[in-house]
Amino acid sequence: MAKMDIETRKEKERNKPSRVLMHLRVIFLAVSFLIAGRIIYLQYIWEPNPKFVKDFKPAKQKEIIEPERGSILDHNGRLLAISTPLYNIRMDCYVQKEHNDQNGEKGMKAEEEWLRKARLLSGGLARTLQEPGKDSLYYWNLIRKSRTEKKCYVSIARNIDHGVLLELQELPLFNLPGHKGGLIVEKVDRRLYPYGGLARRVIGYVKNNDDTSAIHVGIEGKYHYHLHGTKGFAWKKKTDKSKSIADKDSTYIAAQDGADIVTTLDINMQDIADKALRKHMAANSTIKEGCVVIMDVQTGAIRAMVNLQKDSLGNYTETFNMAAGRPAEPGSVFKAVTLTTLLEDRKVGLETRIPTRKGIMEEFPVSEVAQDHYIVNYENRTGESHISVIHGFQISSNYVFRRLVKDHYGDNPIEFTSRLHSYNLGANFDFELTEKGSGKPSIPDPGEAGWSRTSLISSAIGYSVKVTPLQIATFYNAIANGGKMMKPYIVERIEREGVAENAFSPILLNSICSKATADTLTRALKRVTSDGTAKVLKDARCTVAGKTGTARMYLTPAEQKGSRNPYEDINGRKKHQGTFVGFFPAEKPKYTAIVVTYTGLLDMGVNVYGGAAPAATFKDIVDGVWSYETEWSEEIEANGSIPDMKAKNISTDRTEGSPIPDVAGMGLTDALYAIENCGYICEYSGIGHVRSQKPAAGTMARKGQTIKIVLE
Amino acid sequence: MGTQRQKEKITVEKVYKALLSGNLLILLGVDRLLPYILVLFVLGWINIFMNYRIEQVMAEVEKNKVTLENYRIYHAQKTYQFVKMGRISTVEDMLEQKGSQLGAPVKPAETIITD
Repeated sequence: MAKMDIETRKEKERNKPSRVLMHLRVIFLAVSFLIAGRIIYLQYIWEPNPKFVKDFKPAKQKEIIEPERGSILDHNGRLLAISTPLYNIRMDCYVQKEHNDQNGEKGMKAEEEWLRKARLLSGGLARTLQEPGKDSLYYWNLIRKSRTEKKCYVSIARNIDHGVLLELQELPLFNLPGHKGGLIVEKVDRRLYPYGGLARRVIGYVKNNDDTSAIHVGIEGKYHYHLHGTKGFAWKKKTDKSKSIADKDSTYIAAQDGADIVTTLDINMQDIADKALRKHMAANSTIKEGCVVIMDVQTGAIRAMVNLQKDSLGNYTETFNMAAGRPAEPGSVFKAVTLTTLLEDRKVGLETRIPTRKGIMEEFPVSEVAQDHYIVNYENRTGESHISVIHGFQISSNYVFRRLVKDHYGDNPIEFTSRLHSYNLGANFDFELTEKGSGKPSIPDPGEAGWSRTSLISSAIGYSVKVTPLQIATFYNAIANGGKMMKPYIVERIEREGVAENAFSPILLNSICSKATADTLTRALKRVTSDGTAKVLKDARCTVAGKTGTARMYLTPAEQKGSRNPYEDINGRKKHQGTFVGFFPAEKPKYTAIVVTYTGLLDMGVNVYGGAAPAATFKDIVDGVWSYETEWSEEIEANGSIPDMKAKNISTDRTEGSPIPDVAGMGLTDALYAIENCGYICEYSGIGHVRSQKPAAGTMARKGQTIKIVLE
Repeated sequence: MGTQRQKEKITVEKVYKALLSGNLLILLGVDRLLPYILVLFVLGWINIFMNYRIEQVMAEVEKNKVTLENYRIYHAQKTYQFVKMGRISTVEDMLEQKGSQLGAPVKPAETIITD
């Protein structure tokens, strides 16, 4: 029994945990309680110092997402304005210098290596950037000097595109990862205009999407709200590897890119008109400014709007929209308006004859209403004492139109001026583009301030009234359109990702005259270009109906220098506005155009007529537009048969052992593509389609061998 | 066994002794929950791994966004250059500079009528 007790005690002693182990367990237990307590404390009781919170929590950053500014396009979808980033390149020339200086001999070697690469970089910069006057030595001196002067932000290049940036990133030093090479790239949003100065006043200009400095100008200004888009934002956080990723748990607002504006402009026509106007402005030194408008007859859509100003250095710029924003006395082009009124009111016909009376209006002294020398010449040349209305229109006689208006509306001038108002000549058309500081068009009415006894007969020949070139063009467009006046417009639609959000249709303003009156007037306008003051247009590539106009321009008070005559300075010098407006082809009008030129101060005796530079510019425009317009192309019958092209499966396999492709029947472009992409060299002769090839299709040849093809 | 264990009364003394002897979890019968604990552990591990992978993918997405943006910029600038070169007067000037006889058309292109 005792023995058993001893055995049991021994067994218990063996099973009893050792004292050390027990202590360890107790310690671990105590520590685990401590940890649990600490966790509970940290989780629920402890509050960290807010100053340090931001450093301990994963960094979140609000990122503004900039919208992309919409593009501006012409009516064929060609880009007129596009937004894209450009890059400014700077260099930290002091990079690694401090580290190298502190690293003894090893550092010296690293510095030498850095400078060797900097030399190579300089050569690369000169080759890639190709900036005039900046050769390899220039960049080398710049980098070396800046390194010595501890400069960390040296400008290397400005406004370079992405292609050049990629090339720069391949250069020595600049190809090092991170900041090690000292390359600093700054992205800047820029607005680009592929057609340069073409239609710049119409398109407008902004530097970038947030630029509001020139926001009132052109389509960029008028449609800024649509073009700009809406900013968005996203929250970004850092990963454990310090990479920035979107924090999907936070709010995300997507940016909405700006809408595209599709204009009615045809950039080819704009180019033709711009080139023609520049040519004639360059040839005539007295012309300082000029504008052109081309309109589509049936719709009133503006196809081109040129506004050129010549500076003292002879450079041309577009700084003011004269076509839409400069109302002025138009001169003789207004006679068509008068004639329309007379015809529509059935006061006269084109063949109506009136007495010439030496071109003098007896009711007025010659000092007030000058004698018409065109009539004197007419009388001398023909010996006639009467002149027909159409002849008076053809030679642009002031006397004829003054006399007609005086005789038919002298007793009731309001009848005449009311007609002028019905042509919408006294008001704006709510046209999209306006110019700050431009005057208002006006048609004076009897009894109003400024109405005098000569106002009626002055209005008849385009004085006393103020209209813009666009208004005159719109009137002539109505004549071309059989009397229907269309509202001029320049924006066709607003679209987003190719889907129209808002489309603007042609608007009929009113019917200004009957079709018969319009046809009669067209006949008179054709006479002007065939036998009248615009004979230069006789040789145009299609028939033109139009009218010339020359008007003296009001001088500014500074130009008058004390002269009492608003048209002349004290030395008798004056300024002329020359105009030609018409439509073509006269038989079936498709386009209406107006060319207006403005001179500087002309010496006495010097005159610039609408039948000269403006008519010549018009001719160049007609010739250019006609050549590009497929609607007027001649149709020719096919003489012979054109082989039907069949699809061929050409595999462009460059591996050795692939056969020569069969290019028979292909055009040169396709044949070249197939042969050269199979690794052979192509030699060709003739034009047309491939008639034969040597070596024959399907044979094996060494890659790089020449394949000769004959086209017929 | 389990039924027997459930019947055993757990006292403070037993817990204290089990704590000291390292048998606490067995005393509490947690060993029966071991498969669940393992599943929970695996799920936790998968969760951490998935989060890690998601971050990796999102970092890749950000990288690709930059690449796409670069391509978009490159495309826009090339488009700009091509449009610029397509201007009629630019083409005419280039042809003239190269001494080419080719100039602007003098009449509209003819239309060939076929049956």
